[in-house]
Amino acid sequence: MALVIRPQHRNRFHSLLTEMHRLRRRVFVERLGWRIPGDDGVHEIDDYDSGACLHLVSFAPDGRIAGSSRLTPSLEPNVTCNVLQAQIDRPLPRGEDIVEVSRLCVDHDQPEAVRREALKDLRLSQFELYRKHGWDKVLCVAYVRSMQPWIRAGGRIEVIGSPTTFPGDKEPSFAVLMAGTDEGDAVVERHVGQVGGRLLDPLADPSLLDRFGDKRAA
Amino acid sequence: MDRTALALTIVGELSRAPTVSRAIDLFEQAIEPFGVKLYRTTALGNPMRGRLDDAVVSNYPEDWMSFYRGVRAFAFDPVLCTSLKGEGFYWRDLPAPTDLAAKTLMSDARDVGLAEGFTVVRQSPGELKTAVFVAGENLDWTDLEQGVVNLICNTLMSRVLHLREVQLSPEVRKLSLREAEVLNHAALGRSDKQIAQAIGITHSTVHTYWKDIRRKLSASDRASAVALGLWSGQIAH
Repeated sequence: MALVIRPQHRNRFHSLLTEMHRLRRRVFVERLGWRIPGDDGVHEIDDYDSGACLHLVSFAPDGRIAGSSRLTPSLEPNVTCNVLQAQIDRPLPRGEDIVEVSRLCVDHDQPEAVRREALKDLRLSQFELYRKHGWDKVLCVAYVRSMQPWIRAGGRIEVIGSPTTFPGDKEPSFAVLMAGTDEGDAVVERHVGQVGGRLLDPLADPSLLDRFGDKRAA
Repeated sequence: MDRTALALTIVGELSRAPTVSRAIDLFEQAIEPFGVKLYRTTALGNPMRGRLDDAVVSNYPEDWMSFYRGVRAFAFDPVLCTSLKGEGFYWRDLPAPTDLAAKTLMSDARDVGLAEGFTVVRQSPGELKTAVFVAGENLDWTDLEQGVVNLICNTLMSRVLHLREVQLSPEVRKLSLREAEVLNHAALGRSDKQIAQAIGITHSTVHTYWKDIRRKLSASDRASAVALGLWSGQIAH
């Protein structure tokens, strides 16, 4: 299961979001060595965490956050189009059918089986959101090794612009456009699992606000 | 267009190549500007137990491969043995072999155009480790070009492995007129949204048609559905 935290619900999930930003720092700054401006020494948080983005968090059996990702409609300000674009020599596509995905990570302190399940929850829940919002295409920046399971599963990619090696990285990254609902459904259903039933969405079930949200003062 | 830009354009097409032969064709177009003349992909296992027929795609000279098999060179070939360690590398960075058989092999390889090369190793969790060997002259790439070559080789391997699993099933059922119409639009490269607009139906109805199409054609994905639609004569070439 993965919980989607929409902009209008962020104030109800302050504790979860704080835990998520701590996890992101552990992964992107400490583990991958990224040098990013949103690092305050404890959390990794940038300007694009407060805009129109949706955060997805998946949980380990012990209740801790096991993984997270960030989805932003590409017409809204997002880190790929607004920041990384400066280092990519071709304009990145934006449109109402394109969603930008960034900061996908899992907690490497968790056992491998938990990490695998967390990634599965995130991927399948992302596809549920693609369907809900009519996002046919996914824009992201990825390493070669991150794209290959997708191609191996039959998914197509479009590489946009020349590769870039970002500060702190050891290998180049590529901006890519991948299929979302368009044909990605078939790929993800065959190789990851059935899309549907994994997304916890407070818009559909408001009781999730109390179940996962901060406790209100009496 | 420089070789990097050209290659990245081709990689998109390579990632959805409908056949292995088309994938090879696109791979060659992408890789040749980088000076690559010869290439070979292979599954990596225990070289003493592996079958050389595990090579998926290769344009190495047949005579060389016969010789290679004959002398069981996989047991001492420094390039192959280093590949098993799992990192990409230039062949020129390998330490000079001390073993006579390996020395002779490297010298003979030089004579058939396999003097200078680069190996890309690919391993996804739960999958067999595979490698792509590329050889040519003046393989002096920048770090970013090396990244692009890595992407081209990985994409070839991933797509070819996928295509090998797409089986043309003789048990193909007839599509309805509307299903064939949807498939025809897909064969022309249109997205589901474009198909919905062209036919005047909703996006979710297109999605339902896709489920029926895949079921009737026993197709695992969109690309194989199109291939099966063409093969079974239910949509036009």
